[in-house]
Amino acid sequence: MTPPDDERREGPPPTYTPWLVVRATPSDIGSRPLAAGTPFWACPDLTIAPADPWGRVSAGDEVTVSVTVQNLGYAPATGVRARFWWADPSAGLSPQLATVIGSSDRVSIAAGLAETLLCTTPWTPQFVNGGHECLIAEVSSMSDPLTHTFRADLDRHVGQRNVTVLAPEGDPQGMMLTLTNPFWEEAQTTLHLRTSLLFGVERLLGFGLHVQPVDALLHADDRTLADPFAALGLEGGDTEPGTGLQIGEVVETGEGAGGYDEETQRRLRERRDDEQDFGSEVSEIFLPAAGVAQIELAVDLGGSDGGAMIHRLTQVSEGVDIGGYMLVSLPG
Amino acid sequence: MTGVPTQFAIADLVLETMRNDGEAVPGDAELPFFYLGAIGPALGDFLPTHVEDGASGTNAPLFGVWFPILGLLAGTPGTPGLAANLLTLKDTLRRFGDAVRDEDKFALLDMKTDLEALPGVITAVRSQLATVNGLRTALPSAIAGVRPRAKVLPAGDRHPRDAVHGHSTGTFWGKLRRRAAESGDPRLEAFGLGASVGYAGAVCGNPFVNGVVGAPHRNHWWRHRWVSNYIDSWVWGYYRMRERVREAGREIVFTSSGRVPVPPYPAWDNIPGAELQDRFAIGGITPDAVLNAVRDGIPVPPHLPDELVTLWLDCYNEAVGDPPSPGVDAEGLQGAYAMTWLTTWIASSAELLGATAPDRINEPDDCGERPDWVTPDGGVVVGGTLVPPPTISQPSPSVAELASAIAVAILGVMNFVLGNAAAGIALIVAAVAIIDEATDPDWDELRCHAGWVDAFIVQLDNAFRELLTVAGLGPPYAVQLAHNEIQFTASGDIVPSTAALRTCRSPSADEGEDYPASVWSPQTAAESNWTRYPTEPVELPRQISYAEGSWWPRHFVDGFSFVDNGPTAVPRFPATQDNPLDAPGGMPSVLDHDEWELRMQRAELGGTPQGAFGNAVDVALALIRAPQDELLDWDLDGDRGSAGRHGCGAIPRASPATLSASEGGQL
Repeated sequence: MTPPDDERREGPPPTYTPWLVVRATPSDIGSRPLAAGTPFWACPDLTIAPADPWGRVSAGDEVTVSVTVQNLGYAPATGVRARFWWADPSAGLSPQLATVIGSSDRVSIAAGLAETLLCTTPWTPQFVNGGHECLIAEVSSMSDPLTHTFRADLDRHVGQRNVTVLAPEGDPQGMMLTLTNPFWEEAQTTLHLRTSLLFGVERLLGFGLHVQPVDALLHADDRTLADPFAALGLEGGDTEPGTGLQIGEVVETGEGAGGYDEETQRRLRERRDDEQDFGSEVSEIFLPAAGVAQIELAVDLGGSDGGAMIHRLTQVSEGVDIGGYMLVSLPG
Repeated sequence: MTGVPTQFAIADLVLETMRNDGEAVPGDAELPFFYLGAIGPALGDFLPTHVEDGASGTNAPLFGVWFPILGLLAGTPGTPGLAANLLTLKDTLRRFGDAVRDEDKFALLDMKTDLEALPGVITAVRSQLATVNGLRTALPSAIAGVRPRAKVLPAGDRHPRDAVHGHSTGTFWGKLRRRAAESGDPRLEAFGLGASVGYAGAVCGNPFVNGVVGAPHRNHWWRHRWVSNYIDSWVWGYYRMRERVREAGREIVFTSSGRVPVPPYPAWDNIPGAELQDRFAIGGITPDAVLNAVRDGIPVPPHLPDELVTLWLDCYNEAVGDPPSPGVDAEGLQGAYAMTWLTTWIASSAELLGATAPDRINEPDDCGERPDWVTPDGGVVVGGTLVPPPTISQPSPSVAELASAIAVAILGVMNFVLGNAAAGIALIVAAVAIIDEATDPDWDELRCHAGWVDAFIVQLDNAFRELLTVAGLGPPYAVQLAHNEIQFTASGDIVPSTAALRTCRSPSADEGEDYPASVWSPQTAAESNWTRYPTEPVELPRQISYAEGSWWPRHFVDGFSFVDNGPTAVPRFPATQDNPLDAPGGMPSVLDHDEWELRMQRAELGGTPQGAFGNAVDVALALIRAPQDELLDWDLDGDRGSAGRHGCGAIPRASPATLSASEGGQL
């Protein structure tokens, strides 16, 4: 028998420690910081139940929030607990803008395995800003503690999910997206847009992927999805950025975002040198230290030409991608 | 080789069938002898063992591997060993926990002296752990010494372990069970009955193990041991769980294309805590009796009855012992039994190393996220010195780990965890010291201290068990058989790399023409990296290891698989026996002399004699129900040597009359 390639590779001597990972992308195994341009705000491990096949929930209904965490280290992780927050749609979440939902019970996770941690407090999503709220989950263990709160791009213990899936029918839906300056000085803040069109997305339903169908759309470029997409015959189409999306003026609110500690800001700035095409710039504002702005968005429903429209918005401050937001318009 | 847990699982199924069929089975007093017989040729692993000779002399090489570990556990005259210290530590903490739970102040006052002694015990354990590091260099050379010797005559020049697996096996085991049956001694009768199970387990199980290993025992002897421990965990967990779920009218079924069992591995029974040593405890054997002999360098007190020793040795010497194997005498056999029993105690008893699986470690409720003595970044203050936690670096879940590197890392963690326990114990001692008749303790504080220290001690236990598992000396917990389905479905990676998908499932469907791996040499065999499937060139002639299919170990145990056909189906879980008893013309092939001759001829001609004997339970029952004067001389390692071929079952051992040493020199 020819052993698989992974048995042939040598690596550094392993450490006998836990290695907790809440994935930012389907192929994520916990390397941090994430490369610039990684959509870390669409965590496939953060889920809500009950939900429809596209992950949509009904406003006003009680749901359970959960996060799946893997321990990819060589030692068990003991006393792992998750905490959960919600916040209004925002491209740059900080603890000051979020509300605690609750926490999970503590569990121990054997080396290499995964556990799904349920929030013991139910949550009732509110229909505000034309979409669902954002979710944050943080996991921590005494032997593998959290290092950078609310920063999924810097810390594998954090999962963030900012995504709105729109109904296939009805009028264009409006929402307010929040932008925040995480730094302690004024920052040039820009909003960038990439739009993609994907045909055949209904075939994702019931296929048994390793991620939810909506996450397959959000992470369509992930290497682990190439084979399933080919098998299902999903194809991309040509489209102009912003097709079916209306973007209003960005307005400073005068509120404070709270910002991050000095170490987190330093780590964020380290990514400034990463060259990355975040897409077309669609808005710009100079935000004061820890300042907050909002921008109005409206999306046409029903996808486009029979395909799903996926709009990825990325906030960039001082050359660093701080966060983002996804809007998915499904075909009728 | 199939290990003690697998052999006992097969034995239980055989007993169950015999009881259901109204056949006589050993009584309670004789059951230890039955299970000792069921261990079968695995008893040869420690044969001979003269404890007083240490790792030298004629002792079994496996004893040489264990000897430094046993020495660490046993201590030296006048100095308690690691086992005694750990047992003292745990006993004191258990009594302390009981007193705190009951808020019994006077019980605490009574144990002040014992608690004050614990820091000294911790210090002793730490210094003993420091010596474990030296084992990293001692173990590999000892493991290299276990390398099988050439299978050339006379058999007395081989390790006795290899002789009982590969030389005149049918003659030896046949004599043994026939004479036992004729003895009129119910102990020996039970032993002989068990010996049939032992023979069947080896002859049906070892070809399966060979497939997972990638080679027979001869080529990768330590990987064989390492893999066997995982298969033991699978078999033990599966059959104990199956027994329990059947009581609820269910079966264990496999989902996700056969990868994931339901109920899942974490719910399966574990070998740690199974107390398997109790099943064959004979003559009042205790851990202390054996460890004290190691400590004092004296012979192990005899535990087996003389009649059994005489029976075993007579049969061995008549079948194998010409010339006699050095050291294989009454004391050597008693020592082999004692070591088999003691190592089973270490593996399966909760007494020394606990039995809390890694996913069952409980930290105390309502005591915060960490103990008072641990800093936010995970460091621990011990004696005024801040000890940082082990550095976390990114693992690559797809990289097969090197056993040595893992062992170093585990030792580091053991020291760190022990430091945590030491700090907590220091606070406990200080808190208890201020208690008197007028002063009540802060019960909540003590409860938290006790809870955190318990959690650290459990982690210490598990690190020990992990060390043994990595070294190929102990079984994993059932949860450690599970794989990460997220990683598998996303990337095809098996994470952890030691999950059952890689350590317990037969790869015979995919092995192509690459079996057996690695050309064997009695002098220069490369050290095996036993955690990895061998990639060295194949040893010619090529073979297949086992019946083609991605089988789980149940295939060789009783051969049954079950399908969940829906809640309204009748019968709910239809069974298929994928590996029934092979009995063409009514004669089980394992007993068929013509079949033996046929395979022998094919082996001489370089052919591939296909055909399995069937599953171990059915083969054992066939042997028991149709006794023959002698069994056939199948190679119980499932090894055809470097000449000839074999099929999906064991193969005939070549006799010097039919196969020359040059053609079949390693048979």
